[in-house]
Amino acid sequence: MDMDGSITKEIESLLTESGLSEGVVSIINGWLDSSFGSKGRYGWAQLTLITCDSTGGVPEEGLRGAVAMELYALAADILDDIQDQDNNDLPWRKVPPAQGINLATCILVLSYKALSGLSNPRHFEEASKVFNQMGLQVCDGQFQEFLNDSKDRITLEEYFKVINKKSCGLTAGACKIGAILGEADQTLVDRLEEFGMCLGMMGQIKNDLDDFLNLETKSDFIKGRKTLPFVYLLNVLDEIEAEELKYLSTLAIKGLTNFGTNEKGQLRELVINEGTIHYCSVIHEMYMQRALEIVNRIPISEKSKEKLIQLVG
Amino acid sequence: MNFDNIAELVHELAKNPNHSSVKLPQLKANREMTNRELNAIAKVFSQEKLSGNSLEAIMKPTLYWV
Repeated sequence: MDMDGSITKEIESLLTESGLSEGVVSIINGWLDSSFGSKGRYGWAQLTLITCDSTGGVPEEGLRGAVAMELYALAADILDDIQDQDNNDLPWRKVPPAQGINLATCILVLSYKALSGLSNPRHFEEASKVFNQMGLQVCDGQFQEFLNDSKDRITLEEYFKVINKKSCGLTAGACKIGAILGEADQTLVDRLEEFGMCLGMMGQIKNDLDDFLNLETKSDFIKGRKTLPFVYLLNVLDEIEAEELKYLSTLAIKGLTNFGTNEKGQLRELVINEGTIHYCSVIHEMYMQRALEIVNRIPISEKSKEKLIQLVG
Repeated sequence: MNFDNIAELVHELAKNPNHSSVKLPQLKANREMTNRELNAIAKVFSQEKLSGNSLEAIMKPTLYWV
């Protein structure tokens, strides 16, 4: 059976023994299927399994941790989208928020149930610690982001601090759990956690840049969200240009009807002429170099290194 | 990683692309930035895709976790 098939079977078995009603199980299965746009099918589980496998882990043990991670990340995604009122096309945004929050909580509990299926007590104890710390970090990062969104301006340092907790926490956690289940020593666990952090940072920067000018389907600029392109521009523009950007942001926040072709052109010009894409690309490149450096230095097989390098790109 | 210094330099180079051949070796000699930072900046500014009036940026991986 391939990796996807094994993950599906493990999830089915978990849902069957959960005692949840048929309707709820069906919705959870549907939501699991719809969440693999950018990450591939079961992206979080795959990431956990690849790191577990690369450190010599047993597939059965890795699988339980991988399913736990997949469910945990889905719950986090749902709660994030509800809080941000984002990604309206996803199924959990098409049900009343109360239902979305209820099912996200259910999925989160399921993830802990999956984790409790780990046969090695030490694995369970350590993976639980990672889950708890990861959840606290993500909540803290999300809360800081709420606070930042209400500010006129934040520093680049503040932006990266939030992203490090919010976006990198999950990827770092997935890799760390994989390494723990693979019986890696502490140094290797730490390196793979850092590798995961780099992956998260790369993904967030790509996401921020892709979405910045995508005003019709994404709400980042319209909500005044402090994404990397926006924070960069606020920090490098001179006073007059910064005022122009703030004016555009205020207009967009009032609604897209006020934000016409001229305004879109002005924003586009600021993005191109002021080095926004260059900056995002430089930071992305630095994290990519760091991720590759980590892979090249860790004591795993060449075949495993290749798999990790493929994740970087 | 000094995000502010990198932002300042990238902004300056974006406004004056011809300065990179002078500016980057100077910074390297003065050790004001790390090699990784300078290499990343040099690589990005040498990419033809980004040198024109383009919004295209090639960022891998195509699959990513956010």
